[in-house]
Amino acid sequence: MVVGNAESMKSDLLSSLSIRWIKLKTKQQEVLIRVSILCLVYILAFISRLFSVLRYESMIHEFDPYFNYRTTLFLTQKGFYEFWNWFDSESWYPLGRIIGGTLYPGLMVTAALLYWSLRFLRFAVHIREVCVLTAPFFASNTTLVAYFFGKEIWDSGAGLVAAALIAICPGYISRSVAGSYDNEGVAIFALLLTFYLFVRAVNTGSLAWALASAFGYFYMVSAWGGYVFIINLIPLYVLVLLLTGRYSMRLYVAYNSMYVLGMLLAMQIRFVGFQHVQSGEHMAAMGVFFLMQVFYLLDWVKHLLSDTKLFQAFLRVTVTCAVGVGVIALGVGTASGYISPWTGRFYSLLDPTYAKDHIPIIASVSEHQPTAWSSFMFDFHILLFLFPAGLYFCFKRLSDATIFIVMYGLTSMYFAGVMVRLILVATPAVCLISAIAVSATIKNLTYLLRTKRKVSQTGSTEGINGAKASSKALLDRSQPFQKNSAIALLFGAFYLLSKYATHCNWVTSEAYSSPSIVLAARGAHGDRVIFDDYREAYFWLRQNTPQDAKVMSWWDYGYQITAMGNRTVIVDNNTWNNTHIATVGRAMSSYEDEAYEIMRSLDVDYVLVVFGGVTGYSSDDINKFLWMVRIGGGVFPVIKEPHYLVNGEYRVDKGASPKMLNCLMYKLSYYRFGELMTEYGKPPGYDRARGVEIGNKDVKLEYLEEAFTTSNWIVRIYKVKPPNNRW
Amino acid sequence: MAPSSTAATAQTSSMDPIFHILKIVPYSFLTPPRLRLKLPSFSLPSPMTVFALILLTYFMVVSGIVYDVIVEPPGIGSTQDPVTGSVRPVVFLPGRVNGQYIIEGLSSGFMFVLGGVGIILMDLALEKNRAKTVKVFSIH
Amino acid sequence: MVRSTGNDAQALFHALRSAYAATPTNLKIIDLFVGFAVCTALIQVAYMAIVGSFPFNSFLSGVLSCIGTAVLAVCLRIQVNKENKEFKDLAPERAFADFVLCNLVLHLVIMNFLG
Repeated sequence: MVVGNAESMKSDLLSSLSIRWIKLKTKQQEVLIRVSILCLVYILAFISRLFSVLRYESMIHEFDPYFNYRTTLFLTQKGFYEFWNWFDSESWYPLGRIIGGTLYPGLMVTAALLYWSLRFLRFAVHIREVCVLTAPFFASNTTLVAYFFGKEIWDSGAGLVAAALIAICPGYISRSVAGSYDNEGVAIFALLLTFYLFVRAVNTGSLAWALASAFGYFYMVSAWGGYVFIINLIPLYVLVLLLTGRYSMRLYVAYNSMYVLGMLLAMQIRFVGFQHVQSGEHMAAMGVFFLMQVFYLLDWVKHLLSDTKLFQAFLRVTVTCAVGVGVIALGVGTASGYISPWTGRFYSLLDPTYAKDHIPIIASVSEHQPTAWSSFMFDFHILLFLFPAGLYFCFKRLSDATIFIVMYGLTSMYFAGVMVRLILVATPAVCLISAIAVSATIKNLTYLLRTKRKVSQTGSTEGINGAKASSKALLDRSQPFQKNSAIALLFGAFYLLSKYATHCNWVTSEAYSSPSIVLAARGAHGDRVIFDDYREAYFWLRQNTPQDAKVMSWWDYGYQITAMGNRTVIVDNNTWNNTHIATVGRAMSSYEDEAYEIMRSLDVDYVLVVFGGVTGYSSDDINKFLWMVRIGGGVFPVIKEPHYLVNGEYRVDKGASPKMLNCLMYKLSYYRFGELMTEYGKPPGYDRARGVEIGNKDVKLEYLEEAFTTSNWIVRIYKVKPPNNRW
Repeated sequence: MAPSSTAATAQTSSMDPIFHILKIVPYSFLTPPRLRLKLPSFSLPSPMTVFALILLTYFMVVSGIVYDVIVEPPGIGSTQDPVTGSVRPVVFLPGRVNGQYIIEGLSSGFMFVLGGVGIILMDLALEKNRAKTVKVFSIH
Repeated sequence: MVRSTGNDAQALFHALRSAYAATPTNLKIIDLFVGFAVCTALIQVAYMAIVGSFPFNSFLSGVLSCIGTAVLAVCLRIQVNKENKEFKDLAPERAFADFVLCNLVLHLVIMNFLG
C-alpha cells in the first residue's frame, strides 16, 4: 500500500517541503527519495509473494515445477555435462525422453548458479529453498527493469509508478509466487530486459546496447518458449517504423546487430537449434533483416545521387528485384519443405478457433482457454482503464520508444484475450502504459496546484496593468474552482491506487498462493482443513512399490509421480507424443478387459486416478474424462464421444450411458464408493463434486485390485493383476 | 529520353498489317474514355485516428469477444425463481471464474473504456493552451 | 529499349562513381572490408549449393560469421561517418571499441558452434 502511493508520496513531499530546503539540494533529495522508493518496491515485490510459504510450507507448487525441481536437483548433483546428456528412462515408458535436448535450461541453470553461489558464501541452504524463492527474486528484479524501462520511454516518475504497479500486479504474481518454480518466473524478467535493452539500443544507436539486448534475448530463449513473441514483435516494430517513415540509422544498428548476434546465441540452445533459419515462425525476422539491408542500400544511394530521376529509376529496379527474390526464396523454401510451416500453438494464437477444431490436447488445458472479462478484471483491476489513457498519452508524445511500448501492449493484450495464461506476457506492458497515465495525470494536477499558487501570489503583490491584467483576472476567477477540483481529483487518484493495492493483496493471499498439491478448505466451523492426499499417495508409491514399477495415470500427474514417487510413468506433462497420450486415454475409456490388454502391452503395474467425490474437489479425473475421450478418439476412432454422453449431456448418475458406467475410469473412481456415506441426509454413493448419486454402485473389478486409497479418497491406486494361470 | 521514342516509332512501322487493322477498326466506333488514372496515394492517418481504432480493438478484447466466439455462451442467462417459479434474466454468470455472458462482457468492456476516456478528458481539460470553451465543456 | 536502359545504367554508374570518389578514405576501407565479407559469404553459399550443407552448423557458422562481420562493419561505418548527425556525440573510439567487443562475442560463439 505504501508503495502503491509512491508517486503521491513523492509529489506531496516535494510540494510540502519548505522552499529554503529545496533550494539547498533539490537534486540530491530527489535521488534519495527515488532510491528509497525503489528499495521499498524491491522488498515489497519479494515479500508479497511469500504468502504461500507462510500459509503452507516451503514447497514446490503445481505440476510443471516438479519436473523443473527434479532436473535442478539432478543438475546440482551430477553437474552440467551429465545434465546436458541426460536420457531419462523414468518417463514416457517405453520411449524415454532425452531431457538435455528437450527442455529450456535457463531456469535450472539460474537456480543452480544461485545455489552454488550461496554455497560458496557459506550459506548452507537446501536446493529446494533456492527453487522456491527463485521466482520472487526475479520478480523483484523485474521491478527494477520496469523502472528503467519507464524512465526510458517517459520519465523517472513513470518509471517509479511502473515499478510499483508491476510489483504487486496479480497478473504477474499468479506465476511468480514462492514455490511456483516455473519457466515464466524468470522469463518475464528476461522478456522485459530484452525489450528494455532493445529500446535503449534504438534510442542511442549504440552497438554495446544492441549486444546487451542480444544477450537478454539469449537468456529469454534459454528460459521459455515464449521467446517467439520477441522474435516476431521486434521485426513488426521495425516494419511499422519503416512504414511510418521513422527509419533511422540508429534503428539499423540496433536491429541488425541484435538480430545477428541474438540468432547466433539462440542457436546454442539445443532445444531451439536451427529453428531460427528453418521454421516459419522465425522467417519474419529474417525477412525484415534483409529488408533493412535493401533499405539501407537505397538510403545510401539516395544520399550519393543528386539526380532524383536517376534515383527513381534505380529505386524501381532495386525494389522489384528485392521483392522478386524474396518471394521466390520464400516460395521455394516452403515448397521444398526446408522452411517448416507454423506450429499448431502459434497458429492457434493467430486464429483462436483453430485449436478447438484441430488440437484437443492444447484446447484441453484450462489455462489455454480464451479470457473472459472477469479474468481481466481479476488480474489488472484499475489498470484496465488506465491502459487506454496511457495509450492516449503515448500517442500524444509519439517517439520510437512509445511506439514500441504501444505495439507491445496491443499485441500482448490481444494474445491475453486469446489465452488466459498469456495475461502474464501482457502484464508488464499494461503496467508500463498505465504508469504513464498515472504519472502524467498526477503531474498535470500537481503542476496546476503549484503554478496557480505562484500566480496568485504575484497577482496580489504586484500591480499589473493593461491587457495582461485582464487575462490574469480571468485566470484568477477560475482559480478556486480549478484548484479545488484538482485536489479532489488527486484524492480520487490516490483512492483508486490504494484500492488497487488492497485488491492485489487480497487476490494474492486468497487466489494465487495455494500450491494445488496441498488442498485447503473451510471446515464446518470456519477452520481450515488441509488435504494432503497427493503427497500421501506419492510417498506410498515410493515406499511400497518395486523400484521399476510403471505407473499409468492421466498426463497431468506424470511429473509429480516421477519427482515425488520416483517411479516410471507412461505419459507426463511434456505432451510431446500425442499418440502415447491417446493410448492412455483409450485405456481409460475402454471396458476393463480391453483396457487390460492395453495396459499389458504398456507393462503397466499400477494405475493412479484422482477422485474428488468424497471431498468435493472438482478438478479430478472424472471431470477431465471427456478430454481423455476426445484425445483418445482423435487417434483411435474406436472411441467416440457420443457414446459417453446422453443427449449431449455428461452425467454419472443413473441416467448415464452404459458405456460410461462401465468404462475403466468410472470403475476405478467409484470402486467401493457405493458403500460410503459422504454427506448427511444423502443416500450412500453421493458424489459431492458433481452433486449426484452415482449410477453404478456395484462396481466389480476383474483384472485390477485396489492397492491404496488416501485418507480423503483423493488419490486411488490400483494394482494390475498378473495374467491368470492357464490351468 | 529521345532514343526511346524513336525506338517506339520504329517498332510501329515494323508491325504486322493485321494488327494495324485490329488497332484501327474497333476505335472507329469506340471512343476511348478520357481516363485520369492515378496511383492511389497512400497517406498515413493521423495519430489520433489510429488511437481511436486501437481503442475500439481494446474494447473488443477486454469485453472477451474471443471468448464469445469460441465458447459461444448465451447472450444473457436466465434462472427460475425458487418461490414463484417465474423465469428471471440473469446478467452475471455466477460460480465460474473465467466465464461470462455476452452482454455482461460487452457492458463491462464499455465501462473500462469509459473510465479511460474519463482520464483522457481530464487531461484535455487541464491542457494549458486550450480554448476556454473546450475547458468548460470537458470539465462538466 | 535495351539501349536506353543501358544508357541509364551507365549514367547511374557514372554518377555513383563520381559521388563515391568524395568519400573519406577510412570509410572506403570499411566498405572494402564489407565487400570482402559479403563475397566470402556468397562463395560459401555457392559452395553449399554445389557440395551440400551436410554439417549444417558448420555451414551456418561460416556464413553467419561473414554476415555478422559485414553487418557490424556497416554499423561501425554508420557510426564513424561524420555526415550522420545522429551520432555526433558518439566518439569514433567508442564506436570502434563497441565494434571490437561485438566481434569478439560473435566469433567466440561461432567457435563454439563450429564443431
